[in-house]
Amino acid sequence: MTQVTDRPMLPADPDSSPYWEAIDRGELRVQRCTTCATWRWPARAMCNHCFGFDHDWPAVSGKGTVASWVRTHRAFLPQFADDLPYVTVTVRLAEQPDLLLVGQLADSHAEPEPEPEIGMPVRAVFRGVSEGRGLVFWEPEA
Amino acid sequence: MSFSGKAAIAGIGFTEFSRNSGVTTLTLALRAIRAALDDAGLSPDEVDGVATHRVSDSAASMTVAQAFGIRDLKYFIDHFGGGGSSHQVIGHAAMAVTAGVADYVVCYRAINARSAFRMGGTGRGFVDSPETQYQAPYGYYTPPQQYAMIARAYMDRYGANERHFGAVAVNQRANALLNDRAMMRKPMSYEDYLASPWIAEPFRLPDCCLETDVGVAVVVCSAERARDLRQRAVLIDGATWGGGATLYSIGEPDLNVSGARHMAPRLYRMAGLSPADVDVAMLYDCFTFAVLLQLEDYGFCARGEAGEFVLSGATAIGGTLPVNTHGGFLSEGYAHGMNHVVEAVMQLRGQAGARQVKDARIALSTGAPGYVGGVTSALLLRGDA
Ligand SMILES: [Zn+2]
Repeated sequence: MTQVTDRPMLPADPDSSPYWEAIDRGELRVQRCTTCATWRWPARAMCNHCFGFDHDWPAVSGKGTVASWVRTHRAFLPQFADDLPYVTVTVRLAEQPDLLLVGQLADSHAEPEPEPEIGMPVRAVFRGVSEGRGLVFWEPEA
Repeated sequence: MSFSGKAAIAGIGFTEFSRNSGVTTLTLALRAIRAALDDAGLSPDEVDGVATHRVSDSAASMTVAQAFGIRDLKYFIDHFGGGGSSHQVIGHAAMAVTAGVADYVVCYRAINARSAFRMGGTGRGFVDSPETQYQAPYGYYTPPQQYAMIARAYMDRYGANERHFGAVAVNQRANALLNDRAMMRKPMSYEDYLASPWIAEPFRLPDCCLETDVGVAVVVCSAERARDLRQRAVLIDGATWGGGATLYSIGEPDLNVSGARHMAPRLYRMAGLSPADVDVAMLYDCFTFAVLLQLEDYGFCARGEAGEFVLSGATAIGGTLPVNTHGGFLSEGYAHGMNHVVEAVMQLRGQAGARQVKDARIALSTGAPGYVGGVTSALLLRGDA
């Protein structure tokens, strides 16, 4: 599996930098409205529920379920050519049903990678933190 | 006040569909527009409006206007957007001619989508979306992956399977065999489909649209003016655009709800029509799955039933609702939405030759359903009596 440091990383923006700074420390934090407590994803200035601008970045439980998955067979991104075919998942965080994060299962070396089951409980784990560039992955809950 | 039925498509034109046009997108646009004007019986110096959508991959509307020598352009739109915007451009033109802003608006889409600018592929930077930065590190970024993610959730929820996806691809290939313009003229059986390589599971190669170099254009004017021109007028009874949540934006926990689902009732209301009135449908087929989804979104069958609907033969030419009679993006070529409009017009004029749907009077033509980028648009068209 492609090392975290070899993956295409886009520059963070002022809305998203708290997310990436937390990830680099091995923490999964999501923006939340401090007026009405609605979670926001992806990061942006205003709450789409109460239209307030105030927010904080609490750590989330790191628990979720697989909402869907796809197995990619083409090297759309050259950094992943050696991983083909690889599985990417969409994880629904436990905190709110519309918090849908794209990610991958951690440390899958089976070929081909096994099919995840939709609805399968997963929890967040981190890779690359010690190299200074963190990324969240997902591990099936025991 | 509605502009329903007050504007019309009076001319259609297209270039060859190819893998390498060898010319600029400006040239493709000009060739397609000239063909559409000739089709309508209009002189190029009557054009006073120019409209397009693009994703930094084509000639701007003003560049086209300059090529036509227009010194006082009365209307233009140069909308940034992909397939979801394709039908919106024509809706805008319909509003403009109904409001008297311009008399003859040419709407075009010109792309070298195979030889120069592959959607989500090589030769392109990352798209400008707030979501991309969270996805690219996981090798997830392109349209086939995004649609495959939704398709998998749909399969899991409704028991859809590869027979349903394959039926869409096979049906459209059969249609393409009746279409001289189509890029894919080799017959394809369901066995051929199953033997084809994976792209992004559950999508195989024939589940994905072609990448095409092409220009396609239509002329929009008032219904009144269109009736004085060469061709039978095709009236724009419904034109709506909208959208909202994308797959990873906030507010839509259901992976299988698209913007089109929210918009469709508004489209039918504007036209005073219902799904039962539609004789032929061109549904945005970036991927086979998008056809299934829109059959449900636009009210032709209940949720989860589209696959069996296609397998029943209902969407074949001769079925109750022929779909993508030209072969669609899967087998004719990919003009990013505009070739659907042109095929709908040909069907309503009775000019579709061997693939003509008998007595086609009402056609639905749709843009991308709004999963990626959020926007969607569609037209309900009627052949003038
Ligand atoms: Zn709020």
